Amino acid sequence: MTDTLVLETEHLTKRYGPQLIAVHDLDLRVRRGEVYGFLGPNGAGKTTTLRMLLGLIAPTSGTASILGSAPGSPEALAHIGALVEGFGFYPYLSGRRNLQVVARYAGVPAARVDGALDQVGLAARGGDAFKGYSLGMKQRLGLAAALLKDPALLILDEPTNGLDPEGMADMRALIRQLGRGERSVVLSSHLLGEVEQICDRVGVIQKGRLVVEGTVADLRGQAGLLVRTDSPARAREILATMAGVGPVAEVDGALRLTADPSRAAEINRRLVEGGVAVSELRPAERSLEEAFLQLTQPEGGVAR
Amino acid sequence: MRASFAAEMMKLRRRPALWVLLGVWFLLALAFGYLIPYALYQNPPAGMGVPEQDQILASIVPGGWLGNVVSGFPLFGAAMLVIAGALVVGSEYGWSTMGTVMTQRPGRLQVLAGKLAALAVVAVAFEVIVFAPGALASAIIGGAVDGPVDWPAVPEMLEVFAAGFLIFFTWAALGALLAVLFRGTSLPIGLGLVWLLVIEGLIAGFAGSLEVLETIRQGLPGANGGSLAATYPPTGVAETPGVSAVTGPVHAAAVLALWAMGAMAVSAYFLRRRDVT
Ligand SMILES: Nc1ncnc2c1ncn2[C@@H]1O[C@H](COP(=O)(O)OP(=O)(O)OP(=O)(O)O)[C@@H](O)[C@H]1O
Ligand SMILES: [Mg+2]
Repeated sequence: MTDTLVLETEHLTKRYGPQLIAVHDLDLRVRRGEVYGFLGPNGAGKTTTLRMLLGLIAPTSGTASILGSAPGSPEALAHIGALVEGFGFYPYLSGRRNLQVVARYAGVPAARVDGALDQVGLAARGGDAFKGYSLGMKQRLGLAAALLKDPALLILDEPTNGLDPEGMADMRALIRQLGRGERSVVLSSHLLGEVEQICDRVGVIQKGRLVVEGTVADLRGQAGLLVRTDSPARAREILATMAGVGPVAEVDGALRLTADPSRAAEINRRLVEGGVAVSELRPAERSLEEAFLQLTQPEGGVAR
Repeated sequence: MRASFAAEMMKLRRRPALWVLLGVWFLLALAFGYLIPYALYQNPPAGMGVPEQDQILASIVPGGWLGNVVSGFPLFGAAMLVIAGALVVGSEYGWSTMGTVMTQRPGRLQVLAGKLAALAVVAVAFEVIVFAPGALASAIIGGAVDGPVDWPAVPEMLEVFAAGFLIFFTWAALGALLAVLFRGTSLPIGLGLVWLLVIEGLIAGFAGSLEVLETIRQGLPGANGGSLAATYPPTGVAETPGVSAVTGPVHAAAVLALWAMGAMAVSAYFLRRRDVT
């Protein structure tokens, strides 16, 4: 593992029984200081992967190294803050008391507790019993607990789960802020917009496999043009004859093609000459959502 | 280990369920150890002879303090501690706090060691809450009946405290083991109580007629706890349930210690090996 990687897995695999492979031969690399988005639909294996990285579950095969140590080792855990799906707190204790307990385990001064509560906007309710918290408050307390160690690596599993729109916006702003500088963040999500807003790099996981990894721009792919015509079939034929015009996909009745946007006028002329009326022609970026759908459901949904 | 222990104590001190257990145990022990026997002594039912009356008195004055209090340990006390052990470990599964705890810093075995150390403190608390009021009650009764006030010697006190601790800690460790095995609280508490109150009793019941059951019985934690407590007479009114000398005190103490160590080792093995989900 090089100095710049905070996390590296090789062939990481987790099987549940003979049929189900929750995580399949996963090679992940997260660099120091980056905010890494771990994107995938429900059941893709995100939580399972994160639990393996934290040493909570043992991989069936493969290896992982996190902050240069084995997952779950005290050396690694000392610098990791984690908020993972299903982590709970003691219902009979107040939020503040819960954080004090966590601070004890973590070996950090209890004086940090109030700061962490403040950071997540829970200071006013810190004295209330955890069992009376709303879902969003529980989620905030989970983030506060993850922040207590002032961790070099933050692992957040769907941190905006259960938050209202304002809470989501706050949480995202907070994560962006937390991810500035040296700290690395691994954020799992099935929300593209979220990953797009927050992350430097994205890995897309589907059925336990990493299907693509890159920057948000990489994932979106090349720039293209969107053409709306009265006769898509005829338009396709014409476009197919043009050099430098890439794959044509149909999106909401319009055609999207990869081509340099400066060729819009030429494309328009050729279509009109071919007897196709063009009602709309504009530059189009593939949205991350389309990219995601294409990657995660290759046989259905979006045609190519 | 120190951090885990400190965190554990923070949780335990504020845990309502443990205070309820402690309170119930205190009331039970005082009522059946002192109040009821004293009432019987004062108003003997028809047919109760003077020797029986004297026997009752002997158990509730200072001279009988240690034996009287410890006679409540093998059955009632052990039941409290098996519940406490199951709660301290099992609730972490029920509340899904196991993941929160295991991702802080201490390793799994350190977390378990912290819990077992906290259970040792709980065992001591369950001793203090009955030995201290028991001493007070026997002093008061001793004064009221104008009998001889002869307190046991300090070495004997320490020996009984140690024996009581061994009984309590063993059952707490067994409760903890069941909680690790079944990852929760309800089933472990149920099984622990069934074992202590039903299975041990059934085996004791048939032990007289079946040789093999007698052998098994001599290795059981309940029977050996009872034997250990039976070392310190007088043991109160007639026969205290669960208190009878099946084995000698040294054998009993050794068997209990083995059960406690075995329970801790098996808990450690499973806690370390299994996934936390
Ligand atoms: N303990 C388990 N036993 C059996 N199967 C499991 C277990 N944990 C997870 N799985 C399976 O592994 C797969 C991946 O689950 P995982 O929770 O990692 O998905 P996820 O990407 O986090 O999904 P979500 O977005 O819904 O949280 C699923 O098919 C799930 O049913
Ligand atoms: Mg998940």
